[in-house]
Amino acid sequence: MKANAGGNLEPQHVYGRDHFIDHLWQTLELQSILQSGERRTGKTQILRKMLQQPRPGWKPVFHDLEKIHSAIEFAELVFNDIQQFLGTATRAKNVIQRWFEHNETDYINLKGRTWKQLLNAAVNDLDKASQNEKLVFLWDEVPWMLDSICRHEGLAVAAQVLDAIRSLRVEHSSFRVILTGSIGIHHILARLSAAGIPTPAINDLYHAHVPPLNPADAVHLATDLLTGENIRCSHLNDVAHCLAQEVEYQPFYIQHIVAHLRLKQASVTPDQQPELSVPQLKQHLATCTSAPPDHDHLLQLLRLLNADHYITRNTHGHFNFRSQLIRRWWKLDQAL
Amino acid sequence: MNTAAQTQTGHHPVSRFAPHQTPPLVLNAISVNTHRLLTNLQEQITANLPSGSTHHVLLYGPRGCGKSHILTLLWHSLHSSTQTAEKLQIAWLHELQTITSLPQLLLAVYQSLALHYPHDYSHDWLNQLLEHAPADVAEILTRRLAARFTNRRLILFIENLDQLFTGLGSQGQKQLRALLQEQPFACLISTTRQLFQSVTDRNQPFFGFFQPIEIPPLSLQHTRQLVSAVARTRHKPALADTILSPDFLSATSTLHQLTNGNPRACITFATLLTDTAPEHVSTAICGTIDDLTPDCLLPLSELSPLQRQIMQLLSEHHSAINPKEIARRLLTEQGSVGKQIRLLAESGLLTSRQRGRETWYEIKDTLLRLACQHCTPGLTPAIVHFLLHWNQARLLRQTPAQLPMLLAENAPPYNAPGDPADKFAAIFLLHEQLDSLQNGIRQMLDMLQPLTAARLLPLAVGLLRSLPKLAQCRFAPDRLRDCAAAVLQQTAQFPQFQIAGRLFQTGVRCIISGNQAEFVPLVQLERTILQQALNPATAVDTQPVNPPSGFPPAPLAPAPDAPAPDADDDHSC
Repeated sequence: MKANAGGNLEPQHVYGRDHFIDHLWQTLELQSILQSGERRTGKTQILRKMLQQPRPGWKPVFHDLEKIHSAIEFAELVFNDIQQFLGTATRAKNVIQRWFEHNETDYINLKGRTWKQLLNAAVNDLDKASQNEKLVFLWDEVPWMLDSICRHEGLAVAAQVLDAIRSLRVEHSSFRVILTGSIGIHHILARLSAAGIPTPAINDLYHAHVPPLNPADAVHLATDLLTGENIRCSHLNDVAHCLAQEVEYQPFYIQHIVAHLRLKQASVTPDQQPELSVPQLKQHLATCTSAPPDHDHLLQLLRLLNADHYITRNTHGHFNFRSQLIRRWWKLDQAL
Repeated sequence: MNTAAQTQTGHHPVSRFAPHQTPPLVLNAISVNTHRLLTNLQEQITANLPSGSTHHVLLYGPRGCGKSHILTLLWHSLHSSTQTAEKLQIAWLHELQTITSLPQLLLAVYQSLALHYPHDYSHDWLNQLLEHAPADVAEILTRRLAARFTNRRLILFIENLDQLFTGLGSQGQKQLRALLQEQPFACLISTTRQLFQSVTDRNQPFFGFFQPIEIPPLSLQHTRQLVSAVARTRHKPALADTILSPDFLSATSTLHQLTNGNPRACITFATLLTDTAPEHVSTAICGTIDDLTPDCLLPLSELSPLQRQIMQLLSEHHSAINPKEIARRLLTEQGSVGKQIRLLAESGLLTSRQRGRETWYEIKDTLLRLACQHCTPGLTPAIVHFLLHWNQARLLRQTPAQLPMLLAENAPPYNAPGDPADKFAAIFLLHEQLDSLQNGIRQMLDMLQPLTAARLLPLAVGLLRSLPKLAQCRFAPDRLRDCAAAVLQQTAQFPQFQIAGRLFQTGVRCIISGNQAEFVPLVQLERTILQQALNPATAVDTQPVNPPSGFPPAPLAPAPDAPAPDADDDHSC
């Protein structure tokens, strides 16, 4: 497997997300979902994997909503997706039925309706349809769409869009959606609230936070990438462990580092963390400082560093940094 | 401007500004440090072809660093490979194309495809399409492209991605990103002079979207290989061989230092070089600066008046300057100067160093600085001539020091034969008082009458090379200050001593203080010279190098005996 940081991955190359995705499908049976996570944690890749490998009985439709700048564009998108899902025969039946029931030809004309009418009509059609599959919208970059609507049509319209999506979720059991985005939706909600438009727009959603990979999956990914890129490693397993651990098991950064190593074409050796005993520390301090602390003073210092979560002591009594991030920060700060 | 370095009828032109105009064979022949990067890009693209994966790359580096050269080579290799030719098509958006919306971008992509694959893309269809509204054009083009690239991949080369993103604006960027996410049929291989906010700011849509790859400057070895390779394409095998020999190392070192290993400058130099005699080399280097000046100065045209004033001041001044001094010299408020300096630094035109709480700024690109000086009457790039002599003395005159012999003879050293560095060192040793030091230097200068540039420049270089010997003497600080004062007093009237005198003074301060904090105000190039002067033991690889691999066969040029692969090829990023 080749390293690909930032690009779109094949579903089989999205490692360590199967359990999380299973959880999302199970949740969708009951309610819609708000998927959150830091940037570059793989939220979009999870949606894409769900799109490409849907669970039986589900028909996912993926959209990156950052292209949407108005409420009507959004409603038209949803309407078109639902019409596409329902198929030609159902669409024609719905049009004729509306014409007989309401005698309103403007229902046939898409441009004659307000965005709310359009949304409701589309989801009503979805409710009435007896499809073998259930439609689920996978909406990426929702906060950016709302931000754009705020700027183009005002905060009130953005709040209405959020409320409309919520009422569709609540009133129509057939309407399922996963909302996600690069920036947190709470930023938009805070802006609305500050402007005096508080909205309970997401209180019915299940909040799913995308975690880092579990260590085994992260190491698996690192191993496959290092192997796929033919990167020479002194000890492949150690290097993969070290790499995964250094980036706190975030797949994007594992991909990035391997891509970088590929360009450097250097052989890789894991940077072993030395674990030092108190006598070893004393010996080291004696060589590098003019006034090394005495035994009691050193123990006191180690206790304080331990209490402050900088270092930790293993079962053999050896000391080490508590986390790789602290160690890395220390090395950078001290220009080591 | 002569863009194609076509020197004689029948020679293959090497275009410095439009690599796609250069024949692929020649382009490949002058590629000295791109092999690994190209292989990587090609492997990555090939690996993604059978799958639905897309991988986006952003190559970045300053003007003339070879970004378009790499794109052109990639274009040729993807089209000539049986693995990829049928499975992809390439659309190329060149740097002069101005695009301000997604529909325009899609139109440009289609037009590029129609240009390169006329059988697959109809101009008539496009003309009819233009009757529609722009939003409809975008939708129709998206559908059409998505359908065309169901079973193959669109590789989109975009030059100056930063300009495209500026043109698209925030809304257009989001539309583009949404398109690439929803319809992953395109891989972007793009270039930019430097990383910019749209790709580095985590709040921007394209944050983390591209794999950024920095195009590093040429190493000295690669500079030598490139200059030699261009000489070979000009049917000058003897010149090409000489360029690779240790005898020519000082010339290529000078070129490398002055141009920061800029490939475009190296190609220009190589096309201007007719002979390896020193006077021809200095003429070719000055000609290179002259030739590239319009291109180098191009970024200045986009600056505000105050920014241009700052750039002008920094180019005229021999050292780096702090904002307070810049404001004083420009009769402006320090606050407004500080803001403009920050903007210039963010745009990659300035670089800074800190000493204590002070920040010192200088023009980042030595070539731009030289170009500014070149255009300013009265400012001659004296550094070119000094550097040529400096490198020659440093790299070729590795003779043992004559100092003990001079002292043993107990004679005035200034009329003795030998290295000027030894003469200076002996004068500093023998004369203890400021007056007698000055007399000693004056007598040495008198001995050299008439004082031509050819005699003074080696002497100026010798002065600087005497610094390590001066450091070994462990003189008292007052005695060292006397040395510097004596030198400045006696050489102030000679322009050839300006650089050496200035650096000598700074070097003496470094010896007194025992650290290199004094280096901070020096510009990059002079810092390098002083470091070399104070640490002459720094290893210099004077070994001959091989021509680059993949050199075209005869009759274009004789094949090298051993076209070694680029063992030291390094594309660090």
